[in-house]
Amino acid sequence: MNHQLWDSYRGKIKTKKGGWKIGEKVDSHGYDLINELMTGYTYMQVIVLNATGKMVSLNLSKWLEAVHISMSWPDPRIWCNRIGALAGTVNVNAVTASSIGNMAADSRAYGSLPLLEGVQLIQSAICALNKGVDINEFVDIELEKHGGKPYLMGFARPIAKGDERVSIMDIMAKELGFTEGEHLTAAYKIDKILFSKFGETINLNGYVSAFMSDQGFNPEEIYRIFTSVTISGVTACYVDTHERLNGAFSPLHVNDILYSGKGPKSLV
Amino acid sequence: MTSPSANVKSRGDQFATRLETKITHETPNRDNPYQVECLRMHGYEHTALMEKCEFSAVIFLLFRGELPNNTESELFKQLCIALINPGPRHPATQGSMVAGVGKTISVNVLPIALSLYGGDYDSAGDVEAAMRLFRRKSRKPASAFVDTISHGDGNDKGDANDEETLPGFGTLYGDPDAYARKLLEHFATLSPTPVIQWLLAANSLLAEHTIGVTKAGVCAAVLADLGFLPRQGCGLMQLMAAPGLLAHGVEYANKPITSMLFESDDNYEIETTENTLNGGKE
Repeated sequence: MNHQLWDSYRGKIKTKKGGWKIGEKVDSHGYDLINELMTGYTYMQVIVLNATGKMVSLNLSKWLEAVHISMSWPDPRIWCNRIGALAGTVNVNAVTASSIGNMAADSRAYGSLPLLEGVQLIQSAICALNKGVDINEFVDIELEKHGGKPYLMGFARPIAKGDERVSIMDIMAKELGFTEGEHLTAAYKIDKILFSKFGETINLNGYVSAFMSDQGFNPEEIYRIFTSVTISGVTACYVDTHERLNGAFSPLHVNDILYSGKGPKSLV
Repeated sequence: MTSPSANVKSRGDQFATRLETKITHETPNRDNPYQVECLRMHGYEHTALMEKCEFSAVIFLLFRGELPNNTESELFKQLCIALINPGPRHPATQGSMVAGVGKTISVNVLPIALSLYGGDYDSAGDVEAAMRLFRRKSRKPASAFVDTISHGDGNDKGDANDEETLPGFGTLYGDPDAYARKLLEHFATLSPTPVIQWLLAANSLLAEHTIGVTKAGVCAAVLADLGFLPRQGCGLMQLMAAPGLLAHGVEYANKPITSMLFESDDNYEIETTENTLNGGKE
């Protein structure tokens, strides 16, 4: 019988985050949400606060906001957005549509989840370099894990080669006063190696993973900051199809589906 | 200045122009090509399935491609019922109740509950990993598996007390899940199939490690023996639990908001604050 630990939680809530003290204040991580956060901080600063318990600078919040903008494209061919568009065409509500599109982006292939792997990769690179491993050697080891293919998380991307967002984010970072840290330096070295060998480059995931690592965040914190990073594009795609004819997004004739299964069978 | 977008080139991937399926064969209505005249699933005509089959057998058909034989049908039906109701204390059911009492729109109640049931603590989250583990390890005696755990050997295990490394095993509120063990013993009596029997043996050997089989583990073993694929496992367990989750949520939908838990201030403890402003609140 080892359940006693749970008895101290039974009938009560323990939290380190804050709460509503009715008639007094809403406490959020020690800040007064109504009188302090609402008036003195940006929404992005509060998102990071809720995700990590850390209050970041205004400049970092501006940079993070730009990342969010860069990850929400109103193109319904992108998988999470397509879910938003499909939600619109069957008249799901906007909150549901946006939420389920956001859930779809919790994917091993794109969206929020790959940030975990991207951050782990660049942070493990720094660990390796600190132990004296050469960056070329590190890349070779990582390539070997992927059968020699350049599938390092944060480098290369689906559909297209190259990522136009990286240079824009880098310029913005410099304008906001950020300097290049060891993770970003390592990421650019990996970028150079992969470009010379495969023509592949660092993508936004790789850049964000390295930059945020330089700001002192761990993989889980970074993933949590970006939990809604694609949601706005989903909403846009939902709105477009919701305002059109019902069923008008991706309508398919019966014969548009290729059936490749078994022939007719009878039940005995 | 050239736009950075100019350096981005399409990979020229060839995407499908048609969707393809082995599951559903529709024939079109003569007057409207978007509507269906006849629908078959893995070859069986839909209305014939409605007339002659159990609901659980048609679920089996959709995933396995064949209707179950009598033994498979009984095993799968009993698994569906075994997992049909996680009970009112389960976090997923409580979530369903909160959605109900909070007047969340009706269509969102079940998706909320099912998402909560997707965790890996007393839920469906690690069925897939458990199926992979069981399929691999059940080729050898359970004692060999337990022995490697004891020695912290193997890629997917490590310390037996580290529940996260042993999908399908763990504890529930500090102890092995007694009800999961009861379900496992029921299925072991019902079915002599290899994974279930292996799991029963492994579970008894694991007692000394103070861990035991979880409900997800039971689900994984039965599904593995029935030939389901690991990737089908999590969703199937969610599907099986859906009726109980929804029933409890709907039960609360007509109740006043005061019928749900809302702990008093005396029972609401803010332990510490984590405020930091670039390292500490100024």
